[in-house]
Amino acid sequence: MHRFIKRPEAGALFSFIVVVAVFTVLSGGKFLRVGNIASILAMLAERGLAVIGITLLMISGEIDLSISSVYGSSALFFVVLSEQLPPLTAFLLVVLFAAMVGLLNGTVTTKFEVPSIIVTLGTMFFLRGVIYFTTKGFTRSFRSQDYFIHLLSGRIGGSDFRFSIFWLIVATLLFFTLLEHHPYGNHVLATGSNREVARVMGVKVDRVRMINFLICSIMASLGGMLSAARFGTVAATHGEGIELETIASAVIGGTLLSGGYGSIQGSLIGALLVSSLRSGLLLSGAPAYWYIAFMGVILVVAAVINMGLVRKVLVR
Amino acid sequence: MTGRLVEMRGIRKSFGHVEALRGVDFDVGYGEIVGLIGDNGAGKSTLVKVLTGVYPPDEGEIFFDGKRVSFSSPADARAEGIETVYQGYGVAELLNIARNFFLGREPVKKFCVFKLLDHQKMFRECSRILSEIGISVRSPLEPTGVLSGGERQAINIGRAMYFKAKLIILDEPTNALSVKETEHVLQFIERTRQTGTSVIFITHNIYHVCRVADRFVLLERGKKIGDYRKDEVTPEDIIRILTVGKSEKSRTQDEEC
Amino acid sequence: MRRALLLVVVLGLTVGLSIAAMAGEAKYTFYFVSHIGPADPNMLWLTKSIDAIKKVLPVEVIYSAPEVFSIEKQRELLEAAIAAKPDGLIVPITDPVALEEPLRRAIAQGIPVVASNIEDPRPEPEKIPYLTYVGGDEYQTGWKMAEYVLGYFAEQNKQIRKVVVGIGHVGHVGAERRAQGMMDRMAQENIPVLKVALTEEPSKIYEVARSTLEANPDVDVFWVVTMLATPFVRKAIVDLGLQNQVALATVDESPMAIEGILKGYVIATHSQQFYLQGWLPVMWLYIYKEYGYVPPSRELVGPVIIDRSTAEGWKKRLIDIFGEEQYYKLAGWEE
Repeated sequence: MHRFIKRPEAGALFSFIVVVAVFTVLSGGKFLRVGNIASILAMLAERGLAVIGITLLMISGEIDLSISSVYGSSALFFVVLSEQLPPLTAFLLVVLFAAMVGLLNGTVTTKFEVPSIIVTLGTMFFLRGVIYFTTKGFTRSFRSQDYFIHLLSGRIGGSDFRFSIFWLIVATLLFFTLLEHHPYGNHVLATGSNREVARVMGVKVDRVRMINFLICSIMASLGGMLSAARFGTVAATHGEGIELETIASAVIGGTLLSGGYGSIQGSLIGALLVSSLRSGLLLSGAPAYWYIAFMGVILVVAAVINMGLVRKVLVR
Repeated sequence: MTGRLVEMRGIRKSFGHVEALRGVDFDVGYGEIVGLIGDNGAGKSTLVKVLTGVYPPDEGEIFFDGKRVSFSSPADARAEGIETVYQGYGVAELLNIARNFFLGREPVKKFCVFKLLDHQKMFRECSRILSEIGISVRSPLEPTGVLSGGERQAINIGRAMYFKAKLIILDEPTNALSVKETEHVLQFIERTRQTGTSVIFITHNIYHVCRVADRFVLLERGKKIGDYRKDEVTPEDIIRILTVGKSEKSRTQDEEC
Repeated sequence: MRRALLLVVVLGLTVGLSIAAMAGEAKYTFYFVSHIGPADPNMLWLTKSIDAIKKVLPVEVIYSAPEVFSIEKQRELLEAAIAAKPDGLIVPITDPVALEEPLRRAIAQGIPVVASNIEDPRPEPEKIPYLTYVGGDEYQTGWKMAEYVLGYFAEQNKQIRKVVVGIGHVGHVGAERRAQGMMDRMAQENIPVLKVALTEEPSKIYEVARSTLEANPDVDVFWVVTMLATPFVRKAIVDLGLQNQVALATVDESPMAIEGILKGYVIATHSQQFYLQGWLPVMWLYIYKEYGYVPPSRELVGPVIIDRSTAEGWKKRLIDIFGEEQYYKLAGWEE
């Protein structure tokens, strides 16, 4: 227990609990209504998959800004392809597409040694342009509710809760195990902490980075498709801004921007915090027009608290 | 069987127009600590990189433990029992000591169909090594960043020994260490004699290597200009040979020590 | 033999030249330099209406626009058009400062200009002295929508307790003016209006709409001034079970909005009647060049409020412009 307190995840959890308490009080209890919680969890599931992917990549020392466009284009292509193909097939094709984007990001970063922030910025713009071109500003919808789409993010029984949260749990367990309890996780941490040392110790660092780019893209794609399944409609702006939101979630959760340190559980707590902010602020009566100013303040405070904790843990 | 762990004959290596090694013969005995000495650009690093498979030689043969070898990568060499401890005593600072120690060679245990990290073994073995090295105040779970330079170096050497290296190559192991840390590392190197491990100690610091080495090999501009046993030379002799040249005998007594 | 050949050549030339003369019957050539390019489906309204008017008037209209929205590119195209010495120019004043110099130069050279779709908002004498502006009025859009909503509720003998205006892109001048029109008209009836920053990203839009409605249980009208936010706001309304309480209205005559009205999800939308913004400018330029009559300084063709009573008619017009398959593709509602 004593060791848990010192971990960065504890800081994120603490911030989250404080924020929830404050919102609950200010909103007169509305924040904790079942409907609102279900709505936050649904958003968490969608964003959370992307957060898991980017956390793994950030730990290995890279970044991927294109996840917002992969998220959006996956949502769009899922809907568009489902017009002609069974949704399950469309789903798999989109995953393949995301894998190729990840491969592209990874190849240019590792083979041509261009900083990943630049490469993925380019991919982000390119894909977003493709999305605008395809939609021409209009929204697209699924023709009908297929069982597969229901399985992705349909309502569980008659409740407000959705299946997507189940998928998030599965992904969390999987990647937590990978990072904490598998040699690959150790390689990822080492690659981000000190790439050259990892390399001489026999870790195939380029392969690690490449694999993480792949995972990151695919996870963002899955998140986007869950979102498409929930709303049934996709707009050209789908996913815009989530690259910054997910990175913020990871940082609040204790993942270092410079790599080498981070955790899945921390990032998810960070994501939970970020996902709660909008509804929490509005239900608490924040100005509906410029509540985002408050979001900014809360995010920075949470990050500062956590950075302090991270530094204590990692005695530099 | 020549009875030598390492035998390198007639090694030549060029990079473009630059001839880094111009026909060098080099050998290391079993359980022997050899100091490989020379100024910057003499070819020390290159010679060792050729041995461990970073570069293939243009000419020459290499024998290791009685067999003719030609490693294609340091990983290859490591598999045969040659460990290199590189300059800068690098560690992955954010990883804890146990994870750093076993990086690339993590012990695993089966969990259903998966092979997961054996955390208990890592903790146990690492604790043992830490106390052997004399850093037992630290827990293996602390981030490696808490260790001092000398401690990190000791861990790296300890790791090479743990993984039963036959030959440990130390590339400038005492650079920028404090007096106390240097002492620590040198003592640890002397301990390798007990396990019969051979060591190649690359340096341009004569006094450090004089403490521990059995033999000194001097390189200058890609050629071997000296190969002396410990009892054949003094550190001052070595310095003189390197600065002035083999042919020139003693000049004055006020050379830099 | 040689005589016969000569005759054939002369006849051929005469026929050919006559055809050429007839084809070149366009008395005037106008250039339409727009910001609405091929990536924007609204371009179809303009190009189709131009094709229609060319059948009625002896004019040639050359439509050009950059591939992607770019003020610089539009200005370049404008310079090229002016260099061609046309009989008239039709230009949306996307950026009055950027387009001022070439347009004033053209007007000084005697080339009349009609502003289409976007006007120069500055007062005289800064305002570019074009002949007229044909288009909508964002403030009026808000005002007229407010009047429609008031009438709608009056018919049902219901009071409006509160109105929410959802803006996607905060700070966007057009959206803000629309909101202002709504707010001013509602203020006359002492009905509070809450302006909400929806953002432009679907799941955020949903969340903001949902939270706003939960925090304000007395909302009776939700007007979305950014078209693509509509289905996500609707979802929030449905998820909260407020379909019978909250009247949803939107903007623009998209297939989604029209189908939404027909299905009962949306009570009204507006149109600035794009079609007329192609037709009328050409017509006015022709009348001015041919007869010398001067058009009204500002010709508002929008807003027009579309509701259930007029939706079917609009559906026909949309299908005519987009084609049936495209219409239904873009009209999907998930419900």
